[in-house]
Amino acid sequence: MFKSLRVGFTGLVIMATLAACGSTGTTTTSTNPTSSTSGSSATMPAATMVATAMPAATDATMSATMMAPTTAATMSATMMATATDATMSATAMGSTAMTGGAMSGKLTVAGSSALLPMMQEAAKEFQAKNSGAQITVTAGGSGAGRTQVCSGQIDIGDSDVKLSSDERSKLNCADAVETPVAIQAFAPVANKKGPGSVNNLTKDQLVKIFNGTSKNWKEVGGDDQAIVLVNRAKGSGTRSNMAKFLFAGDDKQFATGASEEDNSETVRQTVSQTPGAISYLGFAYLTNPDIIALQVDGVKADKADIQSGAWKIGGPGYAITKGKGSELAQAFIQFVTSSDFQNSDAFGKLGFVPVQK
Amino acid sequence: MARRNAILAQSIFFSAAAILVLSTGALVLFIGSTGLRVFSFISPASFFFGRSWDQNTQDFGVLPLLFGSLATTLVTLVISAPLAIAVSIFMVEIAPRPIRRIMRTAVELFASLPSVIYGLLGLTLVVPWLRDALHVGLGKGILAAAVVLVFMTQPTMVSIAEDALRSLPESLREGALAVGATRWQMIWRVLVPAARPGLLTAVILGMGRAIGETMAVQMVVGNITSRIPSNLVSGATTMPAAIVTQLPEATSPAHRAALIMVAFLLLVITLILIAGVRLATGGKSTKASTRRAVPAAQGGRPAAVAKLQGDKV
Amino acid sequence: MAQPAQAASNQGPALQVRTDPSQNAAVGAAQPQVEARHFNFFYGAFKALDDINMVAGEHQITALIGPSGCGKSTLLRAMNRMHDRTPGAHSEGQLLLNGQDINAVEDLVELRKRVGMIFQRPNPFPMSIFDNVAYGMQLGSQRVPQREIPDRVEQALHGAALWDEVKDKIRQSGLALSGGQQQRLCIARAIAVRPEVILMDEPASALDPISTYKIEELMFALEREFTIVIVTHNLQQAARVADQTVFLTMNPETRAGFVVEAGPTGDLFRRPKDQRTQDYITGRFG
Repeated sequence: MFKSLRVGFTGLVIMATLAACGSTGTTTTSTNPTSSTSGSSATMPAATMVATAMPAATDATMSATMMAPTTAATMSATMMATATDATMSATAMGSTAMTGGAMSGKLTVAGSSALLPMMQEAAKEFQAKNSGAQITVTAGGSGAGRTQVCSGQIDIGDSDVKLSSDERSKLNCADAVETPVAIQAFAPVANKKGPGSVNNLTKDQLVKIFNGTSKNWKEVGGDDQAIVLVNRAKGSGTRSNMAKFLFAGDDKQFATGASEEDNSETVRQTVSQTPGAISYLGFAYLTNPDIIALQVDGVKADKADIQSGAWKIGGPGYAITKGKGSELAQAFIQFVTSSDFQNSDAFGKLGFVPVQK
Repeated sequence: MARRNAILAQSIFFSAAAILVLSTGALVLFIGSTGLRVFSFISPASFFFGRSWDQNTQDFGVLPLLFGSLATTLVTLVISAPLAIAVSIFMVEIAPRPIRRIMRTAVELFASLPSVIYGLLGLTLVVPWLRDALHVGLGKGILAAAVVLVFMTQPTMVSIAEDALRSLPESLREGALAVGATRWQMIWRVLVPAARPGLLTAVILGMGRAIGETMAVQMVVGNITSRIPSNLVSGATTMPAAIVTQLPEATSPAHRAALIMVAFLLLVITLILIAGVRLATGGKSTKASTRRAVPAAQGGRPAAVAKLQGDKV
Repeated sequence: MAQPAQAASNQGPALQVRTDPSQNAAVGAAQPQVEARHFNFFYGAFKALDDINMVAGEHQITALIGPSGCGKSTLLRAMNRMHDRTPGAHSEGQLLLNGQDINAVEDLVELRKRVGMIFQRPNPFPMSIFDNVAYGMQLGSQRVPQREIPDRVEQALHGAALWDEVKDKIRQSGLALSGGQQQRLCIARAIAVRPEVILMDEPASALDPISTYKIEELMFALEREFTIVIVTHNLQQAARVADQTVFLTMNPETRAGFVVEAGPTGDLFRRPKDQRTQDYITGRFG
């Protein structure tokens, strides 16, 4: 018994280390379309090394790797895929038995957890049409998507925001091509206690709330209830979009001292149970009955207003390739942006708004 | 034939050992060398003594993370260690067999829960409870993390402490009773001191669990890295929580290197803990003279511990 | 284990029997200190002791001998109610300490102060030599005043013939002593609380011959102040030290232990009345 504990302890160290390397298979929050899950393992060759050397510690990972034969170069990306969501590689594999379709080859896609379900769906449909194509889609965060595609570890990086000019130079990625693949909308959300009868805030009021100037809901016409700010972690696409709207992209203006959550599900949970809490969430969460989705300047976050541009918070998510990308990558991005896919039921159900009208 | 088998077996074990040693070495080397790169971006002083960790300003002072980890672990241990020892004493010395069995099952159940479940329970039960009890806005922070960790460290601590107490020779108990000790006097004055090395191991391994726990802590600690927390109930962060929150979005090389340096620190702390376990369980009894004297009451050091440490019992 | 000559010497009449005249003079005259009357003992439904009648006289050494499993340790442990910890253990009949029924005693702590016990393996506590000896004196309702404790510790260590060996390291751990010293430390610990009876459960079986000899010597000294009941597998030892010997064996069918024969050690070993005793002491049995 003691021995197993000791092994567990060693495993713990290894997992902590793996986490440090970014392959955070341990951090999966399930059942939630935009949970940010795994990190940039592909940037860390040692993660692969450790996984190989310690099969016991990464059981699931290894068997999953066997399921989806990939080259050594894509192995760590596949690890992420399986650590993140077991169904994903299953979908990626599901189509190979089918026949017909022109494109073949392998493609690895990683990045934004917000875009993940949409990209998975696209990969599934694309592979159904192109039996020779094998697409591995994983999350890992927008930052990871940008970093990894620039370093050539993956073929397509998903990101909620564009590469900054700083990143283009530092990541040696001047030739990156960024294709908008879906419009994501975000909206301020609040606990039911606090706003009172207020369901609409002006942009100015929101700025004051999120930069810490307004500290009580009564300052914006709500109840006498202290405002509790809940943020996403710095660097998250959701937070970046909010900063873009509120502070012209200057993240430093967010009030300090607000809790920072790693994923949307934790934000939803925290807001729903904390009186006076305010935060922001993706479109797909807005119908959740536990929380109130606030209107901004009298506009409600609905599909039409998002598409027309009347709703200001949000913007396109991008598929990024280094250069134009491989033929297969181009074909896949073309499929993702096609009106067939963008207007499909599956696409709409995931809470995205088509980039094309 | 037998000789060949022996050679084969020996080489298998040798390779297994070599793989373990090499990969551990490679791990330390890789994390260390990658992490130390942070000092090409910022000075060691600003890393080790910086009081803010903020990627917006590219300040990577480790103190908020280090302080958060140490404070969380300390608060956890203050609650968890006495609790675990009390529970294990109850299981070994007091509880009748059926109750003991139920408790053991419960402890095993606790051990098998994934940490995200602890995090969720912390988020939906502990955090609101602390918020309402202490009248703080959110309830996330070091105290919430510590409460969650108390439950997460119990399985490790209880099972090792139980092992240590159970392995004490029955004659030690009878000896105490025979000079007129009551059950409690026997437990506190004789059994607990006799099991001290094992109990210390339990606490240190629980500490390792507490300091390394990532997911559950991240969900309830608030993840505020920009300042050293001034109290236990406003948001804070720990080293693993900061790593897992920030690494996916760490696009700047300095930020990434700084996070990996934090991982390296975590590794070093863990190694120190393991060394602590060795010291607690076996450091003193390597000399033959002490060894000979111990047999009558060496139960404090479970045989399994000795085995793990590679020396003969 | 430390008596390689035992088997051989069991064979013949060469057994060395205690012949100390002053002690023998006391035989028969001694007051019964511990006495079993129709005493039965059970582990759950299993009857371990069947109708035991025996006497341990005051300031005498009484040996309980018999084959493994005959219940001699069970009988010994019943004398200070060590069985209270064992679920399902219970007894019938009487087991008397100075005429008072041991099983009727309510204050176990006081009973155990009156009836001390030495175990097969030395079991010093994980504390200093001094604290080991002082431990029992600090327990219970009649504690020894703190200022008297150092003297009492020294006396007890003298009494256990250990003082000269440990007087310079009395604050060091009791676990650092040798096995024989540890056992004498346990004896010091037991006599420090000034019991009436000391029970010894194979006290030398884990010790080397020299340590065993020292323990036996010590028993003669202790006998002047205490009543000793000893369980031993070592017949030579029983013959050497005991005034009285009780021979128990086990009913082959029910496996319950019973007393075959009891009496002065010299008589029992030289002129056993019962064939089973004869067989046992000459090595044909057990």
